Amino acid sequence: MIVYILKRLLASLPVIIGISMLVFFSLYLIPGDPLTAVLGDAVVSQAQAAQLREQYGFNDPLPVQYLRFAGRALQGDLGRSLQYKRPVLDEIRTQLPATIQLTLASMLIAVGVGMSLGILAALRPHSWLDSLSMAVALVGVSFPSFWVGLMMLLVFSLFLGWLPATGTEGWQRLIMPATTLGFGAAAIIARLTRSSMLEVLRQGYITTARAKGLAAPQVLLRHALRNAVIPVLTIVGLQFGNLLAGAVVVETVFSRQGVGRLLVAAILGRDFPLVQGLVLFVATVYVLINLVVDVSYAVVDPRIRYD
Amino acid sequence: MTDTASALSSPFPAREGGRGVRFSLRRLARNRSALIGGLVFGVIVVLALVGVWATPYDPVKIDTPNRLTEPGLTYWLGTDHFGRDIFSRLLAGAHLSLLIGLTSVSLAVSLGLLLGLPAGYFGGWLDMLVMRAMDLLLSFPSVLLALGIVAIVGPSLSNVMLAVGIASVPSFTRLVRASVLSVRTLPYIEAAQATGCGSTRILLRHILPNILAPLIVLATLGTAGAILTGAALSFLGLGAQPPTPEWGAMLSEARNYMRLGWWLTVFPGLAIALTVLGLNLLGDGLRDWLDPQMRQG
Repeated sequence: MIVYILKRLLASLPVIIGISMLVFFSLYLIPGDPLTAVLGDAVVSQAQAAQLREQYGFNDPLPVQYLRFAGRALQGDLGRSLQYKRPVLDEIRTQLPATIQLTLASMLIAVGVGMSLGILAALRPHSWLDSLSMAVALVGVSFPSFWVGLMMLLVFSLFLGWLPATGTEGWQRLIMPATTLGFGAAAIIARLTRSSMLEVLRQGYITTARAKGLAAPQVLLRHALRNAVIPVLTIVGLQFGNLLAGAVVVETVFSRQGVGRLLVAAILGRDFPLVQGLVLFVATVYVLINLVVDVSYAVVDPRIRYD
Repeated sequence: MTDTASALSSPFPAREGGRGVRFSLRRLARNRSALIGGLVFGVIVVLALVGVWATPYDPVKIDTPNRLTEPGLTYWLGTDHFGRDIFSRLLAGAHLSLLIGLTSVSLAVSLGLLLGLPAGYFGGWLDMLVMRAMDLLLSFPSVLLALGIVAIVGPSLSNVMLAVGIASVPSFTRLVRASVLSVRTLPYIEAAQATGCGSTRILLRHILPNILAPLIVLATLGTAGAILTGAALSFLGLGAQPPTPEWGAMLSEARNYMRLGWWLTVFPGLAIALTVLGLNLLGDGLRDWLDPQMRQG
C-alpha cells in the first residue's frame, strides 16, 4: 500500500510542475509588458521601469525566471498582492477557512442527498420515485448555481425571513451557500449512484446473498452499496475540485468571505500576482485531492493497484 | 430484423436508404427525452432569432417612470430598475447566450479534432505530447481554467467565449482520440490503407464520419455546460457588460435590486435554466438514439 501511495505521489509531481509552469508563463501571455502585470496601474518613468525590470529579474532567461518563481513558491512565497499590499499567501490564509468550511459542508450535502436519491431510484427502477429522483438530478445539473442561490435568498431570507442573507459567521449563514453549491454535485452523484447500483444489483452475488436469506438492508448496505460506491468515489473526488471552483460563484452570490471571491476581486482589480498565486494554489489542492481519492480507491477496492 | 440490426449497429443508418432513415427518425421521435429537449431548445432558438430582429420594447432604453413595474398585461415579465422591459431584454439576449454556447463548443470541437485525430491515429510521441498537455489542462477545474484565461485576456463577452472554449478542449480531444483508437484497427480502415489512401483522406473520409456520434452527444451536452459557465462569468462581471442584455449579466444587475422585485431575478435565471435543461435532455436523448449501448438502467 505504501509503495502504491508513493508511486501515485510521484506521478502527481510532473502535473504540479506543469501547473506551476503554466501559471508562471501566463505572465508572458498577457498583452503588453509583464512589468505592467506586476505593477498594475502604477505609473513609473522609463528609467524606473528599466530598474524594476532588472529588480524583478525580467531580463533573465525564462528558465532562470521560472526556477526562481518555483523556488519561491516552494518556500511559500507566492508574490505580493497589488490591491491588498500584502503577501499573496497571507491573503489566502485569511480567506481559506471560510472556503474549506463551505466546500466541506456542500460536499456533505451532495454525498448525503445524491447517494440517497440514487439508491432510492435504483431500488425501484422506473417507479415514480425513480422518475422524481432523476428529475431532481436533471434539474440539479441544469440550473445555474448562482440562480439557485438567488432564489434561495429570495424565498428563505426575503420572503420567509428564516435565514440571514449574507455574511460568513455562524452555521445559519452556511446553510444556503452550502445547499446551493452542493445541489449540482448531488445531482451528478445521484445519477451515477443509480446506474452503479442498478448494475451491482444485477450481479450474481446479490442473488446469492438474497437466496441465503439475508435481510434486505444487509444485502443493500453490506453487499450492494460497498461495490456500487467505487465509481461514485471517482466522481466525488472530481466534484470536490469543482466545488472548490464553484465556490467562486456561490461566495459572490452570498457575499461570503473566501478564496473564490478573492479570485474574482483579483481578476476585476487586475491584481495579476494574486490571480497567479490563487490559481496555483487551487489547482495544486485539486491535484492533491485527486491523489487522496485515488489512494482511497485502493482502500475500498483491494483489486485496484498501481501497475 | 435486418433493418433493426443495422439501425442499431450504425449511428447513421441514413446511408442504408430511405427505410433506415425513417426507422431511425421514428426511434428518435419515440425518445421522449430527445423530443422534449429538442422542442424546448427549438423554441428558444426561434425566440432568439426573433429577438435579434424585433422586441416589444427597446431592450436598452431607460424608462424611469415605469421602473420596477410588476409583471402584467403591458409588461409581461415586468420592468427592471431602469424601467427596461424584462421580456424584451430576455428576447434580445437569447442569441448571446446561444452564441456563447455554440461559439465556444465550435472552438473546442475544432481544436479537439485537430489534436485528437492525429494523436489517436499516429500514436507515438505526438499522442504522448498531446495527451500530457490535455492532462495538464484537466488538472484545473474547468471554471478555474476559464477564470484564469479571462484574467489573461481581460473581461469581455468574446473573451468569455474564448475562455470557455479553451477550457472545454481537453474533454473533446480525449473523446476524439479514444474514438479514433477504437476504430483505427477495424478492417475498413485497413482496407482503406491497403488501397493506398493517404492518412489525411483516411482521417477525414473514413474515421471522422464514424466517430461523429459520441462527438455530437458531447457537443450538445458541452453547449449546455458552456452556456452555464458563460452566464456564470457574466454574472461575476467578467463577461458581457451592462447594458448588454446577456442573461448572466442581467442577473448580476438584478441582484442589487432583488428586494424591490422578485421578477428581476426569477425570469433571467429561468431562461438560462430552461435552455440548459432543453440541451441536457436533447443530449441524453441523442446519446440513447445514436449509441444504444450507452443506455443506462
